Amino acid sequence: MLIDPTLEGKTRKEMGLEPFSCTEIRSSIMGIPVFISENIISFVLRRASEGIFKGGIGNSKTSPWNEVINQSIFNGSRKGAYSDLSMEKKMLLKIQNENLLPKGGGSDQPSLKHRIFLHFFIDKEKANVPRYIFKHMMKELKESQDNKRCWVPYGRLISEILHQGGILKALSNVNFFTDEQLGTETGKVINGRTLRNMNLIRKEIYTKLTTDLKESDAMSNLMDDFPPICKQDPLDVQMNYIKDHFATNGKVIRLEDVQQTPS
Amino acid sequence: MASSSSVQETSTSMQNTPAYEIKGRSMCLEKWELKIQTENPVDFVSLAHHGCDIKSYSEAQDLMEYFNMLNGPTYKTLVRHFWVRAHIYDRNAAKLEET
Repeated sequence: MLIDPTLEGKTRKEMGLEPFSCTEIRSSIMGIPVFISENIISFVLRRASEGIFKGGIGNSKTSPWNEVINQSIFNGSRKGAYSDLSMEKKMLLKIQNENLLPKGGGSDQPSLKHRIFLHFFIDKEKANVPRYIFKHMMKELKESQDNKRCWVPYGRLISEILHQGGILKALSNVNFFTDEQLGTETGKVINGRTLRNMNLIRKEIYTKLTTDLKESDAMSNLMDDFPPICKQDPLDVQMNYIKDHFATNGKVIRLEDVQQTPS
Repeated sequence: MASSSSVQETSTSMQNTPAYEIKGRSMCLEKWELKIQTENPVDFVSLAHHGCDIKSYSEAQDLMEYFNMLNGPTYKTLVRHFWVRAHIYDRNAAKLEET
């Protein structure tokens, strides 16, 4: 309207604007637009955006939630300390702090939001996880914009959204492709060893299992023409596929890059 | 936030400053200053073996697909690129487009 006064009083459509449908985080990579919304997160999580979400929870001291939370988290009417928590609850809290509502700091003093979210987990009341994640992502983005917080949560989730949005395919077309260029990293698996490091089990109790989850390898994810093999195939089958792949595509695949399970 | 940055953008371009300096960027942090947090995959089998069986909690939240997804690559370069240009498009930002 500042530019063209004749637009005054017209609808968005008449102005040539898209109708407003939902709140989004909008960005772009090499000119390709990337939008993240609650629906996109729900899509990537393969889980409906449904369940309880508590917004505007207000002051943590006077909140009526405290009683409910203390009952489920500390099995009592009073707020307890981290050391009072059972092993399962400590682990759920850790997973929440690192994955679902990442804090990027100490985990011993959970906020009211974190405690309510944990309460839903413990009571197995379905929470609207996609909405929690999206709101948390927006909050942290504002922190970066307004308060120069240099910490970015959800690295993996954002990467998966970029991947599913075709960004990696577009980058491979311009040969921006290697793990070094992409800064590829995979998070450390939380397992029995983590329990040991958290001093939740005795050192000698920890055992490595043959079923232990290994950190995934990025390579197979990036290559469209990765042969359909996995570690479960017999070794000579894997070797033959790799040889064949080299013969036809001229690309070497290391045996370590073969995925554990079929993709 | 999104509103204030776009206001800035219009006012500077009116002063004939090259628009590309600000355009797209939504924060004054530089890409290399950002610390990307990578989520950690969870091995429920190993945890249960060590007496910490929490799989049922994740199943109740319908999050098993999510935990599977976590065991994959984080492209830190791309996430940095995404983050410094990200802005929130909500009802207020949409209203601003109309002015």
